Amino acid sequence: MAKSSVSRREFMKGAAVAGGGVLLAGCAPEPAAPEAVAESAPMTAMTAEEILTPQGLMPGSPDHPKGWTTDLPDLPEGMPLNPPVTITSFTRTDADTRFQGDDDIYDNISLRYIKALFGIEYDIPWTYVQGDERDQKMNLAMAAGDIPDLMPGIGLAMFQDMVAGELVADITDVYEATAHPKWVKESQAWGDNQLWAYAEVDGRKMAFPSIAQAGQDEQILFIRTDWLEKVGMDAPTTLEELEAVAEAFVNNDLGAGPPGTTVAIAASRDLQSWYGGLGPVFGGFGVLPSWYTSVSTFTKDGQGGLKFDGIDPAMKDALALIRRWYEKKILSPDFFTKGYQENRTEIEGNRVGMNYTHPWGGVVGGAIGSMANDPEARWDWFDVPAGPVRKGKNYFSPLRTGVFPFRNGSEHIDKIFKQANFEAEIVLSPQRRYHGFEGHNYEWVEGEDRVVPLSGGTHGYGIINTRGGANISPTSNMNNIQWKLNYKETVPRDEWDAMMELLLDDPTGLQTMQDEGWLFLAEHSLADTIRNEWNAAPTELQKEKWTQLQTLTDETYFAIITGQLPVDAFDEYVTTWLAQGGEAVLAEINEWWAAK
Amino acid sequence: MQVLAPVVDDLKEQASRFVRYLPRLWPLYVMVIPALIHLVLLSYYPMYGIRIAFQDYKPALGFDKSPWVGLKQFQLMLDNPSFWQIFRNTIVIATSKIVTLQFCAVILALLLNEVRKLFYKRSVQSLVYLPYFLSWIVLGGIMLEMLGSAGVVNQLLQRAGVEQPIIFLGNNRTFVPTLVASHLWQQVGWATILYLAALTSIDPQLLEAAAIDGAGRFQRVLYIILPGVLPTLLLVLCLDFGLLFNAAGFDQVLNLYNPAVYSTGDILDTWIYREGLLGARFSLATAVGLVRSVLGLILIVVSLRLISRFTDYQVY
Repeated sequence: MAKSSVSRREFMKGAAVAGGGVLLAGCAPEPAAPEAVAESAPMTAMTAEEILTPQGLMPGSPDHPKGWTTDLPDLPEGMPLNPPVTITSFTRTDADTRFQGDDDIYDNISLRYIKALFGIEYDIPWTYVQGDERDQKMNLAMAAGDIPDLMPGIGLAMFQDMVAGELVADITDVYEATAHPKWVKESQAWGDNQLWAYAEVDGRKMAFPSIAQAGQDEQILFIRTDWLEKVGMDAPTTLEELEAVAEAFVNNDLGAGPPGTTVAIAASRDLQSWYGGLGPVFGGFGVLPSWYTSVSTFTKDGQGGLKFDGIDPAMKDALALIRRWYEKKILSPDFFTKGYQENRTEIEGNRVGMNYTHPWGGVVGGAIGSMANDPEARWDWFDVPAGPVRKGKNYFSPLRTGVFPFRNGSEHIDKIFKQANFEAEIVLSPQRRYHGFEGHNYEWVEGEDRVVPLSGGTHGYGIINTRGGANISPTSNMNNIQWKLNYKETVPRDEWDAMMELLLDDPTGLQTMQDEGWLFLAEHSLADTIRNEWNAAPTELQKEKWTQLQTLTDETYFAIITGQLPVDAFDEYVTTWLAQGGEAVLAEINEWWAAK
Repeated sequence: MQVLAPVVDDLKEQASRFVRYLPRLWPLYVMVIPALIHLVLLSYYPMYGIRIAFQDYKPALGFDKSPWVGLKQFQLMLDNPSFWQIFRNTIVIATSKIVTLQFCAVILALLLNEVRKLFYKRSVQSLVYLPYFLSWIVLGGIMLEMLGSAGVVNQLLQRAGVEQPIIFLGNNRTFVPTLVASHLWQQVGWATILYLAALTSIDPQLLEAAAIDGAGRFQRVLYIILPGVLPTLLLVLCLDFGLLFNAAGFDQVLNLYNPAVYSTGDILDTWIYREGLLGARFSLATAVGLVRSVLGLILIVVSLRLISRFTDYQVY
């Protein structure tokens, strides 16, 4: 006899269902539950609103005096599925993943909404916090022969192996047959179809692309403008001016920490991080350190080939400047032990004067907390100061190196695309007014006709609302901002509903600052950035050599910056880097480039 | 066959002895079963995975489809320009930590042994044991806060007249001493337990006789107490050196190191972590792990021989 095993989660679920059932039986005056109404009616004849409203799952707040109605699209044909199907997919969770009430990552408003609308029940076998953890769990899942149906954000090297191991499904036909021509296919054609660069193998679609917003992680310079006023200086436009402002911040010890601990410019152990990274400083010298790619960053060498900026002579000059800043205590003496969280804590603790980051990082990850802790604090963003060569920063391609493969043999891929069609239409149509769920994403202030946000997320599942910013179109966020600004200009103020008041009133000015930063980045994205031209999966040689080469690079850079090695050690590093396999890797990269 | 005859006879003798004693000793054998299961499941069964060291293993391809590559992974390990530096770092850090810890543990045990006020003695013991129960995830965060440029240690140093903050975790000269000191802080309380136990086995009559003969407290420690704990110290040292390649402390180093101190702080385990887990080069990581295990086995055998030579302790 087969031995049945019950996991803790299954036991808890069973207990909850049993307990809930007893409770409902005892309390419910009528046996006819709302679900029964939904199931007894012909599914395809009902609208999304008719299905969701009885179950309390309809987004929006139409019943309040200043409420609004979410206009949901027509349901995909044949949905909701009856009986529902189960699709397994892991998801990301972290300290910012919060739910209201009894919701959790396995049972929440988003999952219930998806199940009610589409008849798809997402089963979450495991979660992860960082990409490294996801990769390790995926490796374990593959070794155990138990991979989920949908796998968001798989790195290219792993994806290649999965294709070789015949673990992923060829989705070409189902995509062509099911994906919506406007909401999905048109969006996927962004940038001359380049979004499919990583997801296609030999002309066949083997995964869905992972897409970010255009300019999502490009940087601008956030500055404490009240500090600028205190030292009587203007926002810097060159790196020389930046250094002068930074020195003034440090010399006047404007930080809120113990004496002598003011940090003028946030810096991170990841030198080119999206938050507290010094990418635009390197960019001022015309070079681009490796960033956000599975191997590294390779830029045009001006002679028809590609080069690795990490060994470019201009990098030596950039390192010399950062070393000087370190000596002058413009950077934190132990910045190399700090990542996003540590830097954010210092910025919100009002110890830091400037931070290279994205508008979201500057506002949500800095200014809000900083101003809460010190009402006198004021922040604003400025264009990145120019270096001796140019004004430069990393170009952020919406084409992410991760992809969304589907398990070979999964029977429900078409259903995921149908769900995607529906969700894409909502994401790309801000006039449909989807702002999440009352009591989960926002709540009404008692006795007043206004809403306040709640620290809950929809944390959707599937290939559109997957946690982590993956989205259907690289321009959807820009469209949303433009729509908001248009609404502000065209709708009279006294006709605004409570959500638009929340989004547009902006008494602190921070939301406007963030939106304007986004628009600025979008406008200047191509002109002021340096592009990584390498967008292919790593070869065996690269996989073999790159970790060691990256270790060598990190070790040398930090030793030079912290004064443990002279600046001239860079020359020896270049020789070593080439000898330890870098030259062979570069040859391969250029071979690929020439073929392209 | 004649060569094997004594071995066969020996095995027969052992088997008949086992059968003879079984009716009387079976409860003891039953009690051993869980440990045996643990050993087989978690130590012997995973050895099947050693084959990865001789393959170019990819989880997506599995054991069977991953190609065999002979000794390529070992060659890659030796060809890696950082390998010997990492090997050296591992030995330096592990040796420093082992020697410092055991030396200080003996001293602390001797000091505690001399304390006569029981409340004070137990309070000190509890305080020094406490860090042992905290993981390095927690301790790492505490150390980073305390030893940071704006941390409490540098603030105290500043008040004491030190002008420049000391970057304990970002300088190759201070990183290893910081590792050793923080390891000592976490472990020393726990390590004293063994020595305190050894001290209780010293015959009090010896100490009384020495006192009557005019030996002072220091002389009693030097000539009676210290020799009394010496076998224990040697035993612990030898066992620790047998685990030299593991004793560098992966979780501690991983939580405290950074690229600025790779040249002194990168150890075999952190390298395996970066190359193997983060770089998904499982075969190389397994090859390094295998070499480390074989070297560890040799060291354990040698150390056990040394123990049996210098002390009365024999494992087999």
